[in-house]
Amino acid sequence: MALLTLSSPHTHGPNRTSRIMLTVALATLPGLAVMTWFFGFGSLINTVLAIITALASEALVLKLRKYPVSFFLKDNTALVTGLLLGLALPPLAPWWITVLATSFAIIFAKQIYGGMGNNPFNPAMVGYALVLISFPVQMTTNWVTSFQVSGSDVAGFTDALSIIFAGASSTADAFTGATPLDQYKYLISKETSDELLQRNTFNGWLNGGWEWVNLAFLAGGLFLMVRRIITWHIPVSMLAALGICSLILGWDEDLYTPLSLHLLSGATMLGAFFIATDPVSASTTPTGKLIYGAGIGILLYVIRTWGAYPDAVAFAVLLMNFAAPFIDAYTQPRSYGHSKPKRGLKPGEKS
Amino acid sequence: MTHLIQLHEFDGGIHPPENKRQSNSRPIRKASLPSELVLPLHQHIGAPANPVVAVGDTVLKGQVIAEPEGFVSAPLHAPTSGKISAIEARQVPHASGLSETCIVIEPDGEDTWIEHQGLCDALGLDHCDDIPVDKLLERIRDCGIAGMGGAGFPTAVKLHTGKHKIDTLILNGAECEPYITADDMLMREHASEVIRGAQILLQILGAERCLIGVEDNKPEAIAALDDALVQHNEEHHIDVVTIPTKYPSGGEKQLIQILTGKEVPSGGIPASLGIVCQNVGTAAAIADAVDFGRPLISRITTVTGDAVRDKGNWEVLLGTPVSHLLSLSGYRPAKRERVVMGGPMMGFALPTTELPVVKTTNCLLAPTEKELPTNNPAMACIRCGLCAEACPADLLPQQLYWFSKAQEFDKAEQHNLFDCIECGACSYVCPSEIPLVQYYRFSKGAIREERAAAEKAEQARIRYEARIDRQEREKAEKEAKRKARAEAAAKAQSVKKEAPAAKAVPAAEPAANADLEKLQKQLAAAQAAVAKTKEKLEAAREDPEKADKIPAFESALAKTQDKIKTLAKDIAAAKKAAKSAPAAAGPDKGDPNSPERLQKKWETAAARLETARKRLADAEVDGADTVDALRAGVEKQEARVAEAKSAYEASLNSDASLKTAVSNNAGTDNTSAETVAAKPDAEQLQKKLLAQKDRVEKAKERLEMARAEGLDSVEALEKALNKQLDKLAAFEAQASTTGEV
Amino acid sequence: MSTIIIAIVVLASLAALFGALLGFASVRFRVEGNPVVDQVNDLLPQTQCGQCGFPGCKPYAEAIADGEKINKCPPGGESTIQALADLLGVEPEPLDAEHGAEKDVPMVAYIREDECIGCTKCIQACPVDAILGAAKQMHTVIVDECTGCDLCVEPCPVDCIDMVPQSTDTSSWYWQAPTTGVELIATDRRSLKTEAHA
Repeated sequence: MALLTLSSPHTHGPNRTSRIMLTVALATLPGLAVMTWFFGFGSLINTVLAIITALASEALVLKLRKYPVSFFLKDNTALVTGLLLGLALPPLAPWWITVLATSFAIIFAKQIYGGMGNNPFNPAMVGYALVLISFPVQMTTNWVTSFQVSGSDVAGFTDALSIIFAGASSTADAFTGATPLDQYKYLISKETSDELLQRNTFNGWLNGGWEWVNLAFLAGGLFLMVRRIITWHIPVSMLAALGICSLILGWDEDLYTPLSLHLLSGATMLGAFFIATDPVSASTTPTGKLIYGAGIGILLYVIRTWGAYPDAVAFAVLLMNFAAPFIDAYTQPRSYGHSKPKRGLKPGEKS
Repeated sequence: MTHLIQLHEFDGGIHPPENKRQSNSRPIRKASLPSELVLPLHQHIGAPANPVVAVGDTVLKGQVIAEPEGFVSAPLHAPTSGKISAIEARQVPHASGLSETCIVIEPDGEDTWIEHQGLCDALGLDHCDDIPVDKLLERIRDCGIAGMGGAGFPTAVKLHTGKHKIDTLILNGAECEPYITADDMLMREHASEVIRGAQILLQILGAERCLIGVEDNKPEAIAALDDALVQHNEEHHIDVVTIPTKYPSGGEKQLIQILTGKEVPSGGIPASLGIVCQNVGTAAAIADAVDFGRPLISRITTVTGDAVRDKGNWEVLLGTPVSHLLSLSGYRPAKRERVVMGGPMMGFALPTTELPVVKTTNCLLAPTEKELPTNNPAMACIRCGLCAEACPADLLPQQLYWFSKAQEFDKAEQHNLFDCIECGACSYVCPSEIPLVQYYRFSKGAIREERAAAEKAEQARIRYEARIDRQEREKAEKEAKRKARAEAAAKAQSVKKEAPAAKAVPAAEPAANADLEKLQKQLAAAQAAVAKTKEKLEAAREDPEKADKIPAFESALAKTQDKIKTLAKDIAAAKKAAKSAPAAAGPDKGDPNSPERLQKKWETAAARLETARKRLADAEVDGADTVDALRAGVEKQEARVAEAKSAYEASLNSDASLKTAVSNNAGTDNTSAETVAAKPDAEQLQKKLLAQKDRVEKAKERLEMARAEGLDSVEALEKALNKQLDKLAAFEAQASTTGEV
Repeated sequence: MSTIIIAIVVLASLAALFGALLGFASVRFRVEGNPVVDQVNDLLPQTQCGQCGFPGCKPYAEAIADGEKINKCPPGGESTIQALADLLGVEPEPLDAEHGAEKDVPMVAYIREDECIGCTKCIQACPVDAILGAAKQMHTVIVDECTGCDLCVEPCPVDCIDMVPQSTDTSSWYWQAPTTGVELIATDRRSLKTEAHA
């Protein structure tokens, strides 16, 4: 009887990609729940739609590539991509924006590059950037003013459905609006900070529900750290860089968006813990992760403050994705038995 | 513990389930004698041993059956008494499943020891503490001891630390691999030998302290060692250090880092840090060898895994088939069966159980599929970085994986691939179940192969260039010789001119010259000898002690003088001969562009073309690969033929035009007609002449070769050449008369 | 007017400055390169087999440096062509079949010694002096030096030379790269299918 001869090791730990991805998905649930609580069913519907689109696109391409479909669908990476996109898009974005962004993310940003593990850019953010550039109006006006904060009715499930799928604009006008970050950025030149905060979006306090959304994502992120699925490097350096920029450059809240708004509004926490930490497209060395995270933090601040877009997680992450291989080449850790780390490329070597 | 040892931590590492309880709960048992023992000659790192027994020999237990070959090697001993039944290639325990030469012993069941004794007794010393270090090393080498932790590096070689001053000896009792308990049980039951081994090693190395590193999951072993320390009164030099359980703390580099905080430089050895690391089993074997003269013929091996009923440790003779040991342990083969030699992290799966236990076999693991499931198909790497966190060598395993997969070996090397210790921690934690270690092994192997190929190519280049140089030198030498001959010929020619009366005689003037020279040399030598003898004679005459030698000298002198006389005569004769000898008798080289020579060139070229064509045809029929090359050759040859032909025709035309001019001048048609009529005859003759010239040329070539190689056929060839020359002269004479018609 | 002058002066001085910098850098950080012939020769496999039509690797390297095609070396195969293309900055071309095909495994010559008549013809043919022997003495191949070039096979009058694949032993053996997940699944499927058919 022939024995099995395989290379060592002959045992394997409990880690599995599919389980890791599932844990990531689970960790977003508090955020999703809070979003639904504050902004109605729009986010939930969009998220489900995005997940279905992601899985369908992935299956389609796998089929075309003659790859075993179920084996690769089970790795749950498409699920996570769809989920993140659903969370990132405006809650009441029309359905075709979600479908377009998600299918583009999976087909072009992921599978065209060779599928899981081979994409140089974060697929979800590529999809997001595509629709943000192509449909700026839909992408900036379909945010929802928090019902809980403003005291108006929560958009019911059917309302959300009709807005998303039927484009019921008359209903939509009642709920939709710009995000706090957006409003603050464009109105601060005309009003003082105190005046601004009296507006509907802020409701006298800070971020009009966004702080809770961000705190929920922060909690999910911490959970991932505890489960050792992500390391502290990228979120901490990103938030630190963002915070430092904000403290140094934007200390005057009558001129610039304040720190609290930066950290606890928009997609900051979602970006820091779930998007920037996408291992495939991020830097991989410990030092590299710190640089990568800090780069995202700085770009985030720069684009939010002086750029044309109110939020900038997608662009900041994509720009740093470009730099990740370069950062990696210069941040190799010192290996055992070496006095100095080997860094950079040898002369004449192609990257 | 007498000293407080500051422990350090190595980066990375993992905590796989230990699975040691199954096999360390019962004492070591002695395995029964199998029906045959198979001993591979290559059980250690280095050159395979060289058998010193023959098939049919009877050997005693402990007798040397193979001697080490070179410095890095180890001898082999008969594990029991019996008969050598075969020395042949057998499958050896190696991941490749390849075969290597093994000595097969058929035990006689008596288990009779060869005479052996401790080194102290053998040297007749009173105090066993002052055995010289070189004797200790020699004993360790003679007893075939090689690292028993897994690598099998010959211990004596490792203890030759050269210029490095060793201050710390580390005994490795960490045994961090799951399932294996061989060292654990050895330390429990043979703690005293381990300590004794440490003493001997300390003596050899001249080190001040010894640290025995044991993981904290082996409290019984630690207690036993501590007891033995007290027994041996060695608490001051030797410390048993409890280290935290973490895989791979038992890696040499990692253990050194834990115990000393130092890192072995990449590509270096621990000795450069003043550290030598040995396995506890090796220490026990050294104690056995030095104190009792017992060579390494058995070892302790763990047999475990759910596919065996009776898990535990065995003291087993080297060469015992794995199948024997497994059947002793109640092995039940399961579905998707694996038998791993070594632990689950670094061991290798055996291709069959008909393989022997060797010096490095610390464990046989027969897991069921349920116990250690085989990996699922690998998914894509998601760069999660868990591998980098687990890597004890601080490498970037995923980068190495990408480079290995893409076969970008230079980049893998740049990322320190060769610092990978193949511990398997990265594969263990990889969520995509990528067989990372196998990729690294592949890369390392491919790089080594590439290096070897590059080295070989370099070697080939050097040899090729040396050969070309040599050929050119030989050519130059030949050329020089030819020139020298030509010059001599020219000289002779001038001599001949000076003596116009002399007739042409086909004698070889250079030969005469050479003869003359030889004679003159001999003469000179003889004259020198005479002078010397005369001197000696004078001295003898003055010295009364040597008086009895005078007659001998005198007779010698007379003899030499006679010789001189004959030589002088010979020389005179030779000179005369040389004078009368005509110039070189070789055929007149003449004008190289004469039509005859050109025609000859053409003909030889045509002949070559013919052979080339024939070869091509043969090759085409056979469908050989060389067809293309041959075809190219034929084409080239054709071009050459055409060239030769045109050259010949050109020269003929010029001849013809000359002749026509002459005949025109004469103004008679007859003459030209006659010339035409005479042509066929003349042509035939010309052909014959050419053929003859060819033959002469060939004969000369052969002669040259024979001379160069100093063969004894020179004379015969010379004769043949002369004959051919005669014939040629005859033809030439005929040709000239015909030409005048 | 003064603006133009300033602009010219600034540009001129900048040009001078950068020119000086570049000049300094090119002298200071000059990379001593091998002559191209040597670099090419280093990439060739040094089998000296002459299959390229040149009498050895060095002559072919010289010819390549003079513009000869880079795809005439069967022992080097595609990898050598790729390396040469990289070095010379030209497009890699497929191996020219006219000069022979790439062999999968490295070969060595083996002389069946009892059939050898000791004619020394193979010794003369061997480009790297890897055959040992003398006239009327049986010859043998120094395996470690043999480049597997084939050149000794043709001249042998009794055809006692075979080309055999280089053998692998436990020290030269190494693990092959694992088959990737997708391939593994595909083969599993195939075997399942064939089982089902059977």
